Amino acid sequence: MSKRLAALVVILILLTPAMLGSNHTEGEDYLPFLFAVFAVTWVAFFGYAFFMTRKQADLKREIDILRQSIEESEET
Amino acid sequence: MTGRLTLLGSSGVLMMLLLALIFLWVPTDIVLGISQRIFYFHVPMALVAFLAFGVVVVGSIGYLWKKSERMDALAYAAAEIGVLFTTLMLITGMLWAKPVWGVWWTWSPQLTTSLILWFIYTAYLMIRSYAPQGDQGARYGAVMGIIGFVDVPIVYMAAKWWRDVHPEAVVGPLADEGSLESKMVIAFLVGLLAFTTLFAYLLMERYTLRRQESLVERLRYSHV
Repeated sequence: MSKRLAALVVILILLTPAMLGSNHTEGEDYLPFLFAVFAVTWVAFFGYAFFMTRKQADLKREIDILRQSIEESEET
Repeated sequence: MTGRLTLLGSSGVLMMLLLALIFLWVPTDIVLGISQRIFYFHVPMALVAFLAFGVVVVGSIGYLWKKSERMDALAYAAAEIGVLFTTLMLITGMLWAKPVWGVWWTWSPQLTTSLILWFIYTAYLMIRSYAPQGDQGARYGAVMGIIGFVDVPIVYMAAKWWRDVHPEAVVGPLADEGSLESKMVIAFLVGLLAFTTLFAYLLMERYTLRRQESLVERLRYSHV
């Protein structure tokens, strides 16, 4: 899942020039660049928050497995 | 936990305030037009990235000096978040360069040294991932984290030392007095505070997670 998210972010970054691909750079033509900055920033921060949540869930799962395995070894 | 929520809440409120200031309050730059508003994201993120790498140095020195795992976790967490902020600094810089300079990227000294900074701390994270178990990886990482910081003042000074297309610093000790209008300075300071609180929140979260990762790793090896 995290690999898919990373791939999506990379694709979005690579596509940004094409999406913005305008040679007009005056006046309000600057606006898409301004919005792209905000969009990229928020996608990155939410992506990082998602990555940390996933890591937390993986750790919790691993702790459960370890606890179970310790309990089993103590029983035997 | 309350402290973290306070940090996250403060960061959210400051971000909203920053957006309001950027779109409704600050004057439009005469030369750069609307694109200058990217400055309020780009520069604070760059400065927070420098701060993050400063924390890496503190954590690395602490680790080498006292062999403290807490300091190592702090250095690792700060490096990861520093790389995130540097990535965003580079991307937002490119998005600013295209309308102003007409190119997405140019090998100007400040851009090149910034990219080198990104490579240095990305390499730091790779070393930590692929280094052998035990404290060897932490030691290699600590040395690299300290040496890599040498690039931070070079990035800041680059525009002064090698004049090129990138504008000189408008904030900090190198800035000329009055290089920014007072409204622009206020918006910039709000942005800096917003990103700094966000950094502090992310650092605390990542630090806790890193400590848990180390604990689980130790448990796994002691059990196996």
